Amino acid sequence: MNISKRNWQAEWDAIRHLGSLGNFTADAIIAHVPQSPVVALHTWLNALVKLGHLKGLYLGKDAHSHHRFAFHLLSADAKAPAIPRMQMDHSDRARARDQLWTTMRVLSTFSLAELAAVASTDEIPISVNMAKHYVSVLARIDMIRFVGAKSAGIMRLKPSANSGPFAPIVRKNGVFDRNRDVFFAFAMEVAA
Amino acid sequence: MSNEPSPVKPQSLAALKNVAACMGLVTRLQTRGPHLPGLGVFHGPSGYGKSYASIYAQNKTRAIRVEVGDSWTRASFLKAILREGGVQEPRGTVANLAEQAIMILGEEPNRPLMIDEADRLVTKNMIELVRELHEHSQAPIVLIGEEQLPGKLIASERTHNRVLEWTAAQPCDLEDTRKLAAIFLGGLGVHDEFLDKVRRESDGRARRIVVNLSRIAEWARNKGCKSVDGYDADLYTGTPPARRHANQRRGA
Repeated sequence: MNISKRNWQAEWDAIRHLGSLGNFTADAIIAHVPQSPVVALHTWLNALVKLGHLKGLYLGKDAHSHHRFAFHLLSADAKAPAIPRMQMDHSDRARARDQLWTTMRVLSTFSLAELAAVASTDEIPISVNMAKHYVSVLARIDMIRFVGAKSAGIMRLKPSANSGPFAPIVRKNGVFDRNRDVFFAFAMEVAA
Repeated sequence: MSNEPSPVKPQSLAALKNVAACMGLVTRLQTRGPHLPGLGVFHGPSGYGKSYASIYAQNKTRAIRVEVGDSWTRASFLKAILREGGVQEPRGTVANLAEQAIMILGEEPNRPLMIDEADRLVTKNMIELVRELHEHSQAPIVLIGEEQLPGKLIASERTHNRVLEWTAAQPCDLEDTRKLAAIFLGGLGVHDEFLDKVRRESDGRARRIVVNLSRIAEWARNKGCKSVDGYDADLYTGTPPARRHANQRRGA
């Protein structure tokens, strides 16, 4: 799903209209803009809440046990707000990965929040979730270790994993280390 | 999705004064006139955020970065530069390695070379090698080191003369601490008096402030607090715990 290619202005116009009338749901937006992709719309609404453009109001579960939310408009912007992560194209994602790799190579130990903040630049901001995803993948192939108790959340890049300047690339079934030209496959998870 | 929106907008350290100073130094080296030297020095006490600042500049400019080790020789210094420049297994004499490093640095004359722990190059009489790399490649080179680095560089007059700019890292002030709190405390409520206490106890050192803010955020999460005003645990000061007296050990 490439949300960055989509123009969200029609949905945002609907949100502003509905927001001027009171609280609204995702279904109300879809009623106004029937061509909205439902899953992408929910992801976008989630991001708008996190960025402070909307307030999410929990309504409880529906008949299918799905959590339902209403939204309250907080932003007065006429232009659809930019969502940094969603606007990342392939090259931006590669830069984000390079920045994370560079940062974890320099910092002797780090927490996820510290890693995300230090690796971010004004052009390529990196969320804690993005850092968490990359770190967890590297941890699966034992490149990253926790320092002290796992609950403290302090990690380090293993010295033996610090193979060079090029960030390892995440593939579906493993990680490719470009510095050594080696592919590390994920260990098979055996069901208990 | 939470029914209470949390401010998770990714934020960088760009607004910190030391980050801006380091980025300014690198930019001035990159945009200097053709007849001007291109060495810069970023110096300051340990923990003032030189690493944070230089990582930001490195990520912005794709700089090559090496951290000089205590055991390094000329060959290992040059090999490290080559490896960071993308050469997998650098080989050759010191002269060959220097030549290769000059070629790599000269390929992209705007791509800086950042040398952390540069004090060690002076101590080991290797600083002239940096001057040679700069003379022939014209690449901007940033020397990063402790507060004594400028004094140590005076001993090598030819290198000292090629320094275009000296930038001293400063301790974090309240404004910096507020910016760090916005990142590491998220939406938790906090007063300036408390932040100033954190800054003072951390001796203005960015990394200690980050450690303390992270602990405070964890404390608030565990207690379910929306404000950190009631924080009652110790702050990390970097001071080792004092030796306990015999009567304390006995539980008196």
